Amino acid sequence: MERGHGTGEIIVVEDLVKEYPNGVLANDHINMRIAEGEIVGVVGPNGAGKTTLIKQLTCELLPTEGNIYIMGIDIVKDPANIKPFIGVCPQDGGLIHHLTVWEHVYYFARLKGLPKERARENTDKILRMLNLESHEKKVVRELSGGLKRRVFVSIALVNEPKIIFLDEPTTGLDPISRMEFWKIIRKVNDHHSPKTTVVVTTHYLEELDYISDRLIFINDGRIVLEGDSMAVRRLILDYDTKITLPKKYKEVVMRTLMKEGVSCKVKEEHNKIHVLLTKDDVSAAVSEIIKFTSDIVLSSPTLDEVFMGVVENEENTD
Amino acid sequence: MKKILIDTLIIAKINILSMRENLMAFIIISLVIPLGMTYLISLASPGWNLNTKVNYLTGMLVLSSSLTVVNGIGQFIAQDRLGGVLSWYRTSPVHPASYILGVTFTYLVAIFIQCIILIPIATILWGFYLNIFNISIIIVVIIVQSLTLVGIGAVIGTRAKNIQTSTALTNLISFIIVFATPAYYSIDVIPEKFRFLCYILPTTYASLMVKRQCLDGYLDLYLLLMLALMSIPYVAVGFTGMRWREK
Repeated sequence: MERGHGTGEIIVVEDLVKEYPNGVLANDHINMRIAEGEIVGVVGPNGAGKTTLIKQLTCELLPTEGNIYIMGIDIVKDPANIKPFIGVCPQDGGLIHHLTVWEHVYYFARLKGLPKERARENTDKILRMLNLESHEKKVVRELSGGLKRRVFVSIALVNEPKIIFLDEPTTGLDPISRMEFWKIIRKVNDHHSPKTTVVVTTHYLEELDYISDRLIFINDGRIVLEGDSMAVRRLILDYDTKITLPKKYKEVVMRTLMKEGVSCKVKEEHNKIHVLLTKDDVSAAVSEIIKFTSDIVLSSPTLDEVFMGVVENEENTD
Repeated sequence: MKKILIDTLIIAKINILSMRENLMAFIIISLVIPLGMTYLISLASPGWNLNTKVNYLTGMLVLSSSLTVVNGIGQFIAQDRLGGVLSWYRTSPVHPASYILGVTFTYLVAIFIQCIILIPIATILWGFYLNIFNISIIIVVIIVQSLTLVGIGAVIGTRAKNIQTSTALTNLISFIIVFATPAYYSIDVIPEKFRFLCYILPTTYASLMVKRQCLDGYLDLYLLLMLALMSIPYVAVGFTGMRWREK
């Protein structure tokens, strides 16, 4: 039977190894399964092997060992049959400088197998969706970095793919454009039935909190953690709440909390401190801190903290 | 097969459209320079015999077309690959042959334009006669030998680690072609120990055929067969040696 086919798993990766000719082991026995319609964030430090993984999933790079099945198709042996169903936004993609925005999207729609009329319709639709209509006649070398990234995404989405691979898609975009971008990806994911599957890598971890159903942490080519964003927080961090207040209250607050038997850790950052604790201790801690200052912020730990925790754990293990 | 052909035309169109702003450079390379050379040679040629004139025409046609293909395609593909454009083609359902042929098409158009302008003007300026049949055969031969060399450009373009390497390799191949092709001179002039290179280059058979067309209009079927046979290993090596999926 074809792997993953009929099980709701649209991507199945088994024991994937990628060793480059220069001896660098970029992916070390990666196993993962992604369900249809899932949005999965692949996270890891620079050089962890994220882009190598994406390039193998998108048929750009040949694995050294292991299997990849997408929609039940063995893409290591038969890459041609999966390409009509995927959309790819590569990290290091380039554009053809003298082609206009519209021409880029239209001709790649044609190359992805869309007939002329549908290619035209989809091009117009996707350019509207990504707010590129007013730039459609411009040659791409006249565009800003952010607009070029939007052209990348337009090409990736123009064939209405079942699976989208986005490798660092928001690099170079300003915060507003980044949020708009993720809204579009959410819309694309929800728009189709069954939902479009999205595999994304990004350095902006807070965005993955907003967009992803599941996170996969990669370090040194291996998957070191996976789960939804709350689960990975629980697994890695020994606190789930953070109270931030001005640094000048550090001594008095620590003394008081210790006296009251509140179990917590304190982390300093410039002119503020973070009191890290579990939900059980939050009300007791807040009622004590508020006696000294009302200038406090309550928050959950960020994915950046989880990420740092994962990397630290890995370093300690080594 | 139909998709391969359609994709080839789309990629050719993409390349032609992307040349819009470089039209002047295209005209200079494919027309102004060869015509200028033709004119300059005509100033020196009155004292030459027919063989020398034919050698010059053959050299201009065969060598300029083969260098256009090897250098042009090799460096174009390397730029597409290292500049990230090739990623779009590789992750789309595009057959590698469509990409290579689509890129080649642009260069063949340049070579074709060069031939149809250059041959009549050269014959008028240099004072010898070719009929429509001779010219057609010459153009077909030039196109076939250019296609034969596409694979070399494809292998270099898809494998070179960087632009400098691809430039060095295409220049090296170009040097071998220019040196070992009996276009400006006859095979006898080439040192014996290098003569094997002549026999394995398609440009040799193309040159000999062009010369025969210019001198006596004779269509040498043996040379035609050799050119066709030579194209098989070249195309095979090109398409098996090129790398569509990185290792």
